[in-house]
Amino acid sequence: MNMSNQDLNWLSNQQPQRMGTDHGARERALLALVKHTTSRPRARGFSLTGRLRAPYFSAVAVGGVAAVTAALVLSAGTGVHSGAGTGHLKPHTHSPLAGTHRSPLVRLADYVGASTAPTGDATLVARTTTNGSNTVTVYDLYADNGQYFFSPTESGLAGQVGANNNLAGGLFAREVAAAKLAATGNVQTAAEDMAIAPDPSKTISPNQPSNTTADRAKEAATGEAQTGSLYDNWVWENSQDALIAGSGQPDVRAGVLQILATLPGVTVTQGSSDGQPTLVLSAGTPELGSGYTEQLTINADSGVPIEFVGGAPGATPTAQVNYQVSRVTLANLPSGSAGGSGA
Amino acid sequence: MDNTYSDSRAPARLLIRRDLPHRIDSPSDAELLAASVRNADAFTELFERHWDDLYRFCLNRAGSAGEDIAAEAFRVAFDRRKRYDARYSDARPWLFGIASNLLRDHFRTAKREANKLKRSATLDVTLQGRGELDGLERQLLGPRLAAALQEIPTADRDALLLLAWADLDYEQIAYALEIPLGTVRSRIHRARQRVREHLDANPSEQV
Repeated sequence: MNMSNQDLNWLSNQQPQRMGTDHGARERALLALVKHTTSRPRARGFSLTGRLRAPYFSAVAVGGVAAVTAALVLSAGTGVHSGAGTGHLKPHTHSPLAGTHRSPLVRLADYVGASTAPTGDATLVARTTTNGSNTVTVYDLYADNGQYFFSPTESGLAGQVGANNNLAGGLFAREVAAAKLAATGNVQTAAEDMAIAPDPSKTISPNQPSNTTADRAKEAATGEAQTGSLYDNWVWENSQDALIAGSGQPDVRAGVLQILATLPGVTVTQGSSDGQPTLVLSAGTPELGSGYTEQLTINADSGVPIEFVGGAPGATPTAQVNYQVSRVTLANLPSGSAGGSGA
Repeated sequence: MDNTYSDSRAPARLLIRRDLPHRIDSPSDAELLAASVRNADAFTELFERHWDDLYRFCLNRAGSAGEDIAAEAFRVAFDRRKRYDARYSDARPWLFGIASNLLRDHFRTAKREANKLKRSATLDVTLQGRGELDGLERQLLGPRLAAALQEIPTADRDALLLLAWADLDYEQIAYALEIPLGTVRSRIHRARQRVREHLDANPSEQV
């Protein structure tokens, strides 16, 4: 038997090669895709924070896993939290706190904003994503100076910091800045900054009639006016990024809470998770449209994010992310074995 | 104590990019998919990157129906983008996996239609299937390929053509078809043996 690649070469040469000169195929497919995408509600799904960067990191750490010496000053719990994600998502109905949701959020924002500055110079977020039967934990390290490091293992963070593998590149910097602005009291301007933080070249405001092709298509399809929803959606999604990236900074958390309190569809319910009091923030139709909902669970005393879930109302979440937040000092991270080495 | 990447799919480790210690200018596919969750425009960038490859593959497999199948693959991918595993920076295996499923459905439907025709006694000889390669697919592949692939089961053939025509490696094929790496190796080994036997028996067809 000939064990060369002759068979594969032969197969490759035998391709029917039906790739004609029909350049219209691309345009037709793209048009169909755009029509399809504009008919669907915008949604967050999995947490954007960190996941945007994860593939860039080379290290699949091997060897021992040392615990990061961390001064736990934020998280009220240390275990994996079970919250809304373990059950069915609540539909877009008004909770008992609906209509007064600004009060608990603003009250918490005031409380958090007045808290003392945390120790350490960076925030470590252990991010556990559940996707079907798969559960993966990765580690995001947000330095207070704006640097961002990632490792698939906790022990690999020191190597990433040592190699100066800073992946920040401006990502989330504007979101965090908008939150800090809100903490100073200029909430409405900060919310508008938050809406366009990923792309400041865009212009949108709460009172601006929606006029995008996508919204016009959606209006035509649903008969529902889309005015304002895009703005609310952007503020909701970007605020979550800011809350995760700045979860170790009280002023950022306070600012995000102030901004979220301005959203018309966000409702707040009280709960508990692993013995700690929680607030569950549910996005409404203005933020996400119908047929999809998201809930963000935060610690009711600190505003620290605990869990994100998303999916169809009343159904098992299709996206679930748990966060465990702690403060660390970059110079004191224990040496790990990752540092860019491959598996 | 650390169970990161403890899922049973071995290819996951192999597909994580190891060559990009620093940020590069253009976002990875995984980044585009993550961004597309809130900004659908990012998905069109993914479309632009991979349309040609996916279109060519689907066209080679399914003829004129390939255009619709490739377009449908992108629509399905958009709907599933929130479930994309961001550890895989290259989305090609994922996209080809979706397309392979659609192609399988396409040929299965064609076979059902052919069987209906048979039952109604309006038999079309071009739609008669023998062995594992059904009539429509055999017709689309042409006589030489059809003869070589005739006895290869559908699952083995899918894996082989992803290797030979889509330029995916074994690990990527495992991810695309959601099967263990060892299964990919055995399927492709079996399929290649069949092709080699065909070429040995038909030396005039060899390149």
